[in-house]
Amino acid sequence: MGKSERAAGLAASIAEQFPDVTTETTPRGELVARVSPGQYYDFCQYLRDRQGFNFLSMITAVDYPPERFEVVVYLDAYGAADDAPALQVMDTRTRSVLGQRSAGLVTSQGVPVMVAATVASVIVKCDVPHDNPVIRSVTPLWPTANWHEREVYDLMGIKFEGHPDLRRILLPDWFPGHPLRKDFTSKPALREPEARPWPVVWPEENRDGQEPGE
Amino acid sequence: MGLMESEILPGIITVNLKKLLAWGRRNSLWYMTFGIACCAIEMMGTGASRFDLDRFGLIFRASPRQSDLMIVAGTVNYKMAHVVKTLYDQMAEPRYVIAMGTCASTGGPYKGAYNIVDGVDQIVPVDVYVPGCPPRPEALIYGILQLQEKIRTQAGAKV
Repeated sequence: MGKSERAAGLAASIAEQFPDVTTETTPRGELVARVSPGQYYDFCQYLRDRQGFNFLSMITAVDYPPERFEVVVYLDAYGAADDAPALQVMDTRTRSVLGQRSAGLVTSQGVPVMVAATVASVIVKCDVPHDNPVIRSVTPLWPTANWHEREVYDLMGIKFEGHPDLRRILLPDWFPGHPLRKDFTSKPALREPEARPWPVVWPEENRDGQEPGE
Repeated sequence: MGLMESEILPGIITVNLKKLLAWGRRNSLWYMTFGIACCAIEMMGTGASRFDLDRFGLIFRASPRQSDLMIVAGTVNYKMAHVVKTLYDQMAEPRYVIAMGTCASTGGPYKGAYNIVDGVDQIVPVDVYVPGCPPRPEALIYGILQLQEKIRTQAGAKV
C-alpha cells in the first residue's frame, strides 16, 4: 500500500468520522485536513489515538490579514508498516546482517534496537479569527507542542487555551508586540539599562566633516 | 620605548612608567571569549594552533573578572544585550572591546530586524571594529594588532 493509497484510506476514515472536515492530498502523499477551531482538539485526539499519529513534527501559523490566522500542525505516524522502506539491520560489532526489517523491535545480542520510519503524514490546518486569536492547546496530546505553541504565541500572538506555561520563548519578556504579524513594522528601542550609547570618536584624518557621535 | 641605560650604574635601565604599563598591557591581553554565533567559530580557529593567538600573549579566559579584552563575536539579540552589558560591567579596568564581524559592528546582514541590536556599540564602547562575515583569522589578528597599537599610542592617557 503506497503513500497515496494510505492517504486515500485515511481521508475516507476521516470523512466518515468528521464529515465537516475537508481533506486534500499533496503531491508528496501528505493529507491536508482543514478543521474549524471547535473541532480542532477532538480531531487531533482522533488522529493520535485511532490513526496512530504519535509524532508531532511542528506547529506554526500563517497570517492572512485582515481576517484570519491559519494554525498549521504537522503530524507523522512513526512506526512499523508493511511497505515502509526496508532497512538492513546490521550488527556493527560482528558485521553480520540480522535481516531486513521495515520497522519494529530487533534484538541484537540481547540489546533491543528500534527501527522505525515515518509511515504517514498529516497536515492539520485551522483558521483562527484575527480579532480573537484563541485556540485550544494540544499539549496534553503531544508534550512537544509546549515549545511550538510558545513560539507561535511569541511571534504571532495566538493564545493557546489550556497551555501549562504560555509565555515568550524567543524574544525578551518586555518586547512589545508580535513581530511576525504582517502589520508589525516598528522595531523597538533598547531599554535604558542596556542602551547607553557611547560617543564614537573618529581619528582626525578620517573625520571629514562628521561630528563625533555621528 | 625610550630606554636609557644609566651611566652611573651600568645594567640598569629607566623607562617612563606609563609606557612600561602600556607595554605590559598590550602584550598580554587576556580575552574573554564572547562567542555568540558564527564568528565564535572563527575566533576559536584563530586561537587554535594554525593562527595561534597565544604567541601575541592572548589567552582566553572564561570569566570577565580575569580578562581585559572582550571580543564580541556574533549577532547580539535584545535578549542577549542585557548579558553583554552585565559581563562588560564585571570586567576590571583597563578593559577593551573588539567588535568582531559585521553583526557586532553594525548589525550585519540582520540590520533593522525586530530583535537585533544594530551594532554592539549601542551597549558597550568599542575600541576596534573588525568587519567580515566572518572575518578571516588574519583579519581578527590585524584587529588585535591595531588594538595593541592603540594601547601603545594612548600610553599617556591613564595609569
